[in-house]
Amino acid sequence: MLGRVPRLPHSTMRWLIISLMLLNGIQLVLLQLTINSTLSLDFTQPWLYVGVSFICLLISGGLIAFAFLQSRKPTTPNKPKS
Amino acid sequence: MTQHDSTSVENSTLKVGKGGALGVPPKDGDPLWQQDFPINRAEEMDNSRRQFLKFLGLTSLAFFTGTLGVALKGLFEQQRTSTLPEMRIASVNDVAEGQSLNFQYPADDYPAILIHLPGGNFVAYEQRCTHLLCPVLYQGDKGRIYCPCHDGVFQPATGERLAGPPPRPLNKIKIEVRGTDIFAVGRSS
Repeated sequence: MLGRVPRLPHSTMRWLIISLMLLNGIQLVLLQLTINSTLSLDFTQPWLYVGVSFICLLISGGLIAFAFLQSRKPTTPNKPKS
Repeated sequence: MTQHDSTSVENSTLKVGKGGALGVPPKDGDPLWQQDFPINRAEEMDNSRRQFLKFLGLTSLAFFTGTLGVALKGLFEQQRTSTLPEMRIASVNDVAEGQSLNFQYPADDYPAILIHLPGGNFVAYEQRCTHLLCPVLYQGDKGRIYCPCHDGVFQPATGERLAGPPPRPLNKIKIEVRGTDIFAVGRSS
């Protein structure tokens, strides 16, 4: 880690982590709903929850990819103060 | 481990704590295990944001996999439930009004309860509380199905939860009265 510059800026990392934590929370609730429906012998609802959970997974991956792509854009060098 | 060894470990822990082991090679006085496995404790304790990001991504994948697994298990259960055999439970005269009868359906390890409600109707439920699977009891004098483990209470006519920690109603067993016999023909939510 010594001398290594993080590729993602702090602000990007902040919203990325918060977003992923929120998505994880949603997925946890979906998992619990799926378990509840299955134990109640309701076999149609779980597939809806699986679909929504998959969308959350895609969004998570998309957010990570987006953040890294954004950080790869060349930035303008700081102008020396006169 | 001898008394001497534990003392050595404590001393070394104090020595390497708080980032003290960063790049410090093991010395002759260090215990043998630390010379063989020079763990950099400060680095081990450091959880970078990048690692946390990886953890969140993998957690998302794990939650999806879990949800999919539970849904697939439900699909398997659905196929099994749709092909349950019919089984004669008892005769109508075997269960007096306000009384119940325990039976097993669809297999021996699936306890169930048949209830003769006041008014003449019959209902049957899985005899497992939806909280922690304790066997539930029908209390005709109090007009309730009761779970003695954690005071869960269910409505006898519908199986709905009335009180206590159970999160769901009792699972029903479909029954049919044919002449004087009562048959179990399937399960439903």
